[in-house]
Amino acid sequence: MRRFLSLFTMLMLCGVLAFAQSRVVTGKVTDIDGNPISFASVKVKGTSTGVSADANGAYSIKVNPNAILEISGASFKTIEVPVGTQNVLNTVLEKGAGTDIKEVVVTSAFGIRRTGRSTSANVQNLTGDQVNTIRQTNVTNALAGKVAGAQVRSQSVAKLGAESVVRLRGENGLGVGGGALYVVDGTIMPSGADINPDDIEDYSILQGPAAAALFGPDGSNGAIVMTLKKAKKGAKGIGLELNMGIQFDNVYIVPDYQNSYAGGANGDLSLYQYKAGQPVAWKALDGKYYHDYSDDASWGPRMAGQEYIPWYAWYPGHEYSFKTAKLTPQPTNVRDFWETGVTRTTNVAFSKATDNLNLRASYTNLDIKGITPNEYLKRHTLNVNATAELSSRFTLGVNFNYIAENTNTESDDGYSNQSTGSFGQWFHRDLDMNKMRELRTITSPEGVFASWNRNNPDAYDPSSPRKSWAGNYWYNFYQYFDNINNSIRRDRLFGDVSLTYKINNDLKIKATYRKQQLTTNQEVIYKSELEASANQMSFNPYEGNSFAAYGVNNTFSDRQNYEGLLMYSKKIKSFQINAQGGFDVLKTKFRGVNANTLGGLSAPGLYALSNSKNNINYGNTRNQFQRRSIFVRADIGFRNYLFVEGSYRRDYTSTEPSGNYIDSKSGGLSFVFSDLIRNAVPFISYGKIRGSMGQLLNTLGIYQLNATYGIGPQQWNGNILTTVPNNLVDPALQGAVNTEKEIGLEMRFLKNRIGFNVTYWDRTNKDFPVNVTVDQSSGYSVISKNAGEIAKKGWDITGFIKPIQSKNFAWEISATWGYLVQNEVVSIFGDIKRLNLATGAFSGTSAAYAVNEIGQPWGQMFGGGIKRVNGVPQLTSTGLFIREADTKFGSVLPNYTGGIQNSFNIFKNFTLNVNIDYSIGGKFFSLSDHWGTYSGLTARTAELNDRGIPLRDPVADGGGVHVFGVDATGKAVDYYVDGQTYFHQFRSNSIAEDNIYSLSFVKLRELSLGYRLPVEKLGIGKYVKTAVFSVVSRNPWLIWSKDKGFDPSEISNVYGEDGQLPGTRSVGVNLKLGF
Amino acid sequence: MKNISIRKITGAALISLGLLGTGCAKMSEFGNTNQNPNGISTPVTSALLTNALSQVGGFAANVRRGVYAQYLSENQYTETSLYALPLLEHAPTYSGPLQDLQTIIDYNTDPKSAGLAAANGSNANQIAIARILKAYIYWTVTDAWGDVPYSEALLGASNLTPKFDKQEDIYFSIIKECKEAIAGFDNGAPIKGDILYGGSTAKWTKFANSLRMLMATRLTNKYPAAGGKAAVEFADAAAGPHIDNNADNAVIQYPGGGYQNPWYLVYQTRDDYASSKTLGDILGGLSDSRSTVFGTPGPTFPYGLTRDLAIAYGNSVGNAQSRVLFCLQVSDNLTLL
Repeated sequence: MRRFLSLFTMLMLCGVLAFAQSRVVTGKVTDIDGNPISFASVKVKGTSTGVSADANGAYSIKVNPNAILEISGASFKTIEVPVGTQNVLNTVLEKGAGTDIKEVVVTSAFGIRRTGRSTSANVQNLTGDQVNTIRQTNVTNALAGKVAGAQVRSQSVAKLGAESVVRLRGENGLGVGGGALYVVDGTIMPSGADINPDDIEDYSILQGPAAAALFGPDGSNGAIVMTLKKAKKGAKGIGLELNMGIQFDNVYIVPDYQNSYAGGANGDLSLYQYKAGQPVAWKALDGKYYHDYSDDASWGPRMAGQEYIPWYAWYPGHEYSFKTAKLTPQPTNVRDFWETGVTRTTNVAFSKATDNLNLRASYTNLDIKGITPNEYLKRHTLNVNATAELSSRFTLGVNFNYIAENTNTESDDGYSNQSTGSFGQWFHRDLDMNKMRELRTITSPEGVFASWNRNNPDAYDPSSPRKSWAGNYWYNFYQYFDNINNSIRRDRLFGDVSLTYKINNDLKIKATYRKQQLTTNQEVIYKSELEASANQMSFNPYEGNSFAAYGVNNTFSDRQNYEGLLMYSKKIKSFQINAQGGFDVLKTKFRGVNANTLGGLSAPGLYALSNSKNNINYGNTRNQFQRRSIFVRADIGFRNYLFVEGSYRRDYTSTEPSGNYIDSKSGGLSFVFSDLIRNAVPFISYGKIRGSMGQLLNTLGIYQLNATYGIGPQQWNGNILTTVPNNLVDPALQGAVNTEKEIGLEMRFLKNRIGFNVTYWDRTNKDFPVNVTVDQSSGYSVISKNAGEIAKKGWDITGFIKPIQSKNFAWEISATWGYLVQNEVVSIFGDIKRLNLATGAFSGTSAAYAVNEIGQPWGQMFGGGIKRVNGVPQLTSTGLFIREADTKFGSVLPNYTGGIQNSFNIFKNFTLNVNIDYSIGGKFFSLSDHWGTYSGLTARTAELNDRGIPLRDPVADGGGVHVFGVDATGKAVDYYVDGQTYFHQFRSNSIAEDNIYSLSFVKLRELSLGYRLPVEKLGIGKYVKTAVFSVVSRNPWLIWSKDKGFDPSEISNVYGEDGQLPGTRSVGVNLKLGF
Repeated sequence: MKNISIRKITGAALISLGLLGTGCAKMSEFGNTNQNPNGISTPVTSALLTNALSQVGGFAANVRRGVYAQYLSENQYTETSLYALPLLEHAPTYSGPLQDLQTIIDYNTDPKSAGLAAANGSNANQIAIARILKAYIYWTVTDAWGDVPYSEALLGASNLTPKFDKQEDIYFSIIKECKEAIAGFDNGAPIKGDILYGGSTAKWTKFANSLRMLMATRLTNKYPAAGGKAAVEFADAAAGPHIDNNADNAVIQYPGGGYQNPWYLVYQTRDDYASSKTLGDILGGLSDSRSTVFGTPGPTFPYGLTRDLAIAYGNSVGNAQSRVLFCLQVSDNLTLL
């Protein structure tokens, strides 16, 4: 008994002593160079106790004696350190293929950074390298396929400087959405333009109110939050990096055209007979044949190599004057027009990090020669990013970005533009584009521009050189582009200056001044020569006619923020509390002045407003906006595995009725359950379940509350004109309410070899300040009212797997999949069932357009269809279709979007990246196909019918299109319909159904093979620290698209296209050197 | 660095945040930041009148109506003639010139604004002219579309779904409008912004009576009796001052520049219409000498050909077909009545 008692006492004492000896150990985790390892993981081995180091690698953890700490960090080797008797334990980790995944750092509004572990909403993170795989010039295009739930809508490369739009989780409003918010180091940018992927370190994508509520109204469409690169401490070499690349763009995707029939309206060649009064030189062509030039369609004669007079033969002064040619197919003529684009990107960056100073300066030169003749874009970007620790308490941050850009591009992909507006819709298939280029300066004897679309020779009238020699609707394309100029100069300045004061270990206060300013200056010239050579052209952008024009447009926009931020971070027992709060004062200003000539130029060749034939047209726009916000957010973590967070923000804006304010809030919970079951289930490396919700309100547009009377710029004999504004504004108008809920599960297995992240989200947007079109008989055409509801839900799924991880071959696959389950218009306003959403040319007649209709998905394509009875078309007595009005063709939104990124590491030095993205679902209307078919340009207008006879042959000879259907009584009937009549009916009878196509595609978007030169072995290691040579390709392969002829990821408008510029692909090389 | 009390700083920071948090009234006051500098909140009624008058020419000069009546033939793209009819809405006329005229009436009637509006002419005169012009526009609208909104139209937010009135009711209402408007002129200040008659109430009276006469003529098929409504109205209007010589014609004089005769604009860059053979044959058959006023010399163009036949015809006459004359002449003047 005594022995037992003493043993018991001993054990008790030991226990007490042991408890008394449990203590707090602090320390710092750094790498070999002394750089802190942010958010390194510090666990007590064999227990569930663990903490996350902070952004500076500092941690503090409660341990018992004899505890062993397991310290790990992304891409570092995990180490185990016995605590021993130390109270301060600083550890150094070595680089290595760690089995831990990098503790992801999520950046949110106001530059607030925290661990991915503690984030309750689905935030997707990408590194700069993942996005900049092939050095795309456009940050938005580079994100395609890499973010679950994102649809990237790009534009053709021919539209230099054009912006791509990112839809995160579908669409939110009743009008066309503006896309996600772009934020660079806390500064809000109006779009992805001017953001240089070379300078971005990482991206956090916040999908909706649950994640982005802290942005307030700006966060409604989600946010792409980018952090600029900073210098890394202990980097080898002098800190200079040089990155040079060149890529060559060539046209890749154009529609399928027929190559059997030449231009004109006449299926036979006409005989030319010289008449007195015509130019004497034309006698050489007497007795020869020509096809109709003046009709710009291709219902002309069959191209069989026969002798004919080409359009240029009628004009003197070149080697082909007055000579015939052979009428042969020109299958590559459209492709031949476009030039090879050249994109050169050169980036020089210098970084230096010392104990007190972190400086990175970077200059990028972007030089693009466009694929359209004479077009270019040249941009200089300067970025200086510095942080200086003025003392142990004060830190100064300076971030300065300046972009200067010069562009000359018409970028016109509307109906009847002078490139694709002709090629796809009004064109002669027999045109030799090389001759067009070669003869781009030829004119008539009077100096009128020569054209392939000239009037026929019998229209010759010596008193009218234009009628006799000039094109009817179109110019020689090269001659047109040689005589226009649309030059835009843009200067953007953005950045911030901040001062952070460390009050104590837990509390910091930061004051920031931000600025974002843009000045643009645009000058537009359409030369007098074009007017002098015009018949029925309509190129003048101000008047829609063929008068020469000169216009200018100057804008200035400025955005300034004054921010104050208080940051608190404290560990109390097992709880880690992080809280931030502050205010933000925003002021924006916009001023624009524009003017243009009207009626042409009085003196030819003088491009100045003073030379306008009629009084100039002018505009003067001004607006301003102010907002004052206060916000607070906090997250509390329990033992680094259970977290709760919330945010609240209140905005007062100048656009709201006085006294109103807007509240945005979010809250969420996350639970990293894997920490608790780590020992029981070792194959689960990480498991987290999370849920969050958020609500944010939109603001009204500037001056949206006040409809006013303006004065028109043109007076009528000294009388001014004004008109009653067409919109009625509800005085209680306010911004929409967006509410979102999310739930997600993230897991990783087998030492982070395979993992997935699944989120289900549900969002409702209500009470939009929508311009509801009302019956104009009321006197108003729109009323601005809070109305409508859109309900949407979906899944965002990402996953990764590392199938092979051996020394000489490693393969990692990441995949994203976004499923838009629903994006429906629940209600609009009152009795209104449908609102027009996006319309293009001819939407009042035969084109289809997009509407928002109750009970239908957002963006429903709508137009004239083919009347069917039990699925079979009903035909008229002549075999033509009957129009079914108000037909719905499907939504413009895809159902699934996503991508697959493959990264291979071969023989250590080779890296191969193969990035695919895809989109399934969605429809668009092709006006090019609509008119291209009407004009006999598309391949299907020249096929063989089921008798094996060309369908353009007369029906009496066995030709015609064989049409099957039923008559009015339901009896099955069939007809052979004359080819041209059949293909004309869609336009004549306003049927759009034949031109509705699918937006589905799978595309290999980025390909890059890089070789890291072994600098040590090559002996240049003393001078060059790193050298990587890559071969890259953009859009190398459109693997599959449901419909051909266009790149579905570049369709220019929400409803479709009116004159789509071509899809291209590029190949290039890149050399990256580090010194 | 001096040992600044951390507590004091923390306290100050939290207090200042707290102050902001209480949402003092200053936070939501933005002065006139949201006042649109690009416009004013009350209209200048003379400018509204000029605006409405600048558009009435478009009702008298309408290519599409000419095509439907076969006065004009489409000579290259012939779909409209072959019944590919575009959607033409009556409603934009309401939110456009009709709303402008209604606003003139409202501003001159409302005692709060009538004083300011009187700067542009006496209230009564402005109201009368606006009523006459409204009647003219409604007349063209109902002639084209038949039953259209009238009694419940132009009421703004209080009626966003106005009912359609019967054409018969509209006709008699606008005739009544003209009568009352004529009686409503006073001898006050002449109206400003009147680009048709320069503010002359005498000329407007003549215009209104002639309008009544034309409307009555239109009604003769429905009321053919010699003592019926149409005849009575006609006689009543003819008894008052009306247009009886060309000097009184209602002529819009386009100043050029930004405002050009809509007929002239038809041929400015395009060549889509020719004098139609239908009209040419009728005039020829009646030996009507006005054919020389309608079109240039040259063969008239058959109406309603399919596109390829139309192109072929144009080529066969060497593109020299007769074109609509009043489109080609410079003509700054457009006669309404």
